[in-house]
Amino acid sequence: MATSQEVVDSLESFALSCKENDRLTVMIKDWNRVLRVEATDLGTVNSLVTSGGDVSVKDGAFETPDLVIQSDSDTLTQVFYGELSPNEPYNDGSLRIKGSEEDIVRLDFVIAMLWE
Amino acid sequence: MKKVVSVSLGSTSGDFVREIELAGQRISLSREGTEGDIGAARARIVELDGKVDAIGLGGIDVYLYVGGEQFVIGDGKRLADAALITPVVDGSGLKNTLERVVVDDLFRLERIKAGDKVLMVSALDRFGMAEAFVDHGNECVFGDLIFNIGFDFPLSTLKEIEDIARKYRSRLLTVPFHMLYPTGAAQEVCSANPTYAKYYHDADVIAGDAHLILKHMPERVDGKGIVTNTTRQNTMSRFAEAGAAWVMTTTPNIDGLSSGTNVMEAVLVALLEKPTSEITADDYSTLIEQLSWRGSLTVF
Repeated sequence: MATSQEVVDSLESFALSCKENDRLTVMIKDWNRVLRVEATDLGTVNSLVTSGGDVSVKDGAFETPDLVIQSDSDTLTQVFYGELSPNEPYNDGSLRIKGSEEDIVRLDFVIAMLWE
Repeated sequence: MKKVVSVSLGSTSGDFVREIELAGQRISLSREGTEGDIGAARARIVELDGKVDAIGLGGIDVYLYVGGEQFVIGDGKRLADAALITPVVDGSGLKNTLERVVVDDLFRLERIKAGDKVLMVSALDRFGMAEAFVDHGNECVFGDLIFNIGFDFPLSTLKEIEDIARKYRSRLLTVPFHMLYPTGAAQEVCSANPTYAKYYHDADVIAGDAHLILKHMPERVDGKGIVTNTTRQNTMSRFAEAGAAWVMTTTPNIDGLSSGTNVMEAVLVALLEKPTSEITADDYSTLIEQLSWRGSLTVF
C-alpha cells in the first residue's frame, strides 16, 4: 500500500509532466475539469484541476467533480507515475472512473500522449 | 448467385437489399444495421458464417493503416474473428486504392488544385487519402483530435498523425469503439460545436467519413467540395441544402448507392474467390480497373 503522500507525489508528477509537454498544454487548453482522485484503501481524496492548459493538484475534494477516479493507492500511484497503463486495471475493475465517456476518453488520451 | 452481406454498427435506416450484376455474375448485396449493438452484430456474423460468400463489417474498422504500419481496433477485430469460414472485411484493404484514385480524379477534373485547403475530419482511418492530398500540395487540417477526442488541436502533417497513432496503439485495442466514433442512433445526431465551425469555414474541401462530417457540420458550407462515401439520398440533400458545391464519393455508384468501402471490398472478395490472406492490393486494383469502378461526382 502506498502512503497518502506518495499518492500526492504521483499526482504532482503527473501535473508536472503535463506542464512540461508543450504540445499537450495546447491540446488541453480548453479542457477545464476537476478530477477527484480517491484512494479507496487509504480513504483519502485529492483533486486534479485542469484549467487553461495548466494542471494542478489540490488537497481534498471539490463539490462537483467532472471525473471521479477510484482505486487502491498502489494502482493510483503507478498510473499517475506512468508505470502502469490505466487500461489493465480499468478493464479488470480495480480502477473505476465515473464521468462522461467524452472526458474519460480525453483523460486516457492525455495519459497515452505522456507515456506511450 | 453470390451473396454478400454488410453487417454494420450503424443505424438500420441505411439498410438495403439489392441484386446486382458485376463481371458477369449475379450478386445479392445487402446491408444490415445493428444500431450500435456489438453483441447483435457478432451474433449476426456467426449466423451468416459459412452461408454467404463474404461479409462486410460496417460502422467500425478492424485495421487502420498509418505510415506503413497496421493498427488493430480491438472491437472490430473481435467482431471479424466471430466468423470462422466466411471472409470478413472492413474496407481498409480498399481505402488505400480507391481513395487515392478519387483524389487524383478530382485534380484531373480540376475540382481541386494545389494549395486548396482541405479539412479531413479524421485521417487515421483514411491515411491513403490524407497522403494523396499532401502529395498534391494541399494545405491540410486533420481533425482527429478535434472530432474524435474533443481537443481543439488541429493536426497538419502526416508525421503528427503517425505519432499519435503509435502513442494510441494500445488504446485502439481496448477503448470501446463507440467512445471514439458514433455508432447506431448517435450517427444521426448533429452536434455541431460552434468552436469547430471555423475549420469547416476555412476549408475549400471537406473530406472523410460522412457521419463525422455531418455530425459536426455547421449550417452553411457554401461553395465547398465534399469528398466522402456511404452517401444516401438524405446525406446528399443535407450537403446540397447547406450550400456545398459538389460531392465526390470515394466508392462507385452502383444501382443508386454509394456504399461503404466494406461493402465494396466484400464484393471484390466474393468475385476473386481466393482466401483473403492471398489477396493482394494488385488483385483489387486489377479488378477495380476491370469493373471500371470510380468515385461518383455530383455537382449541385
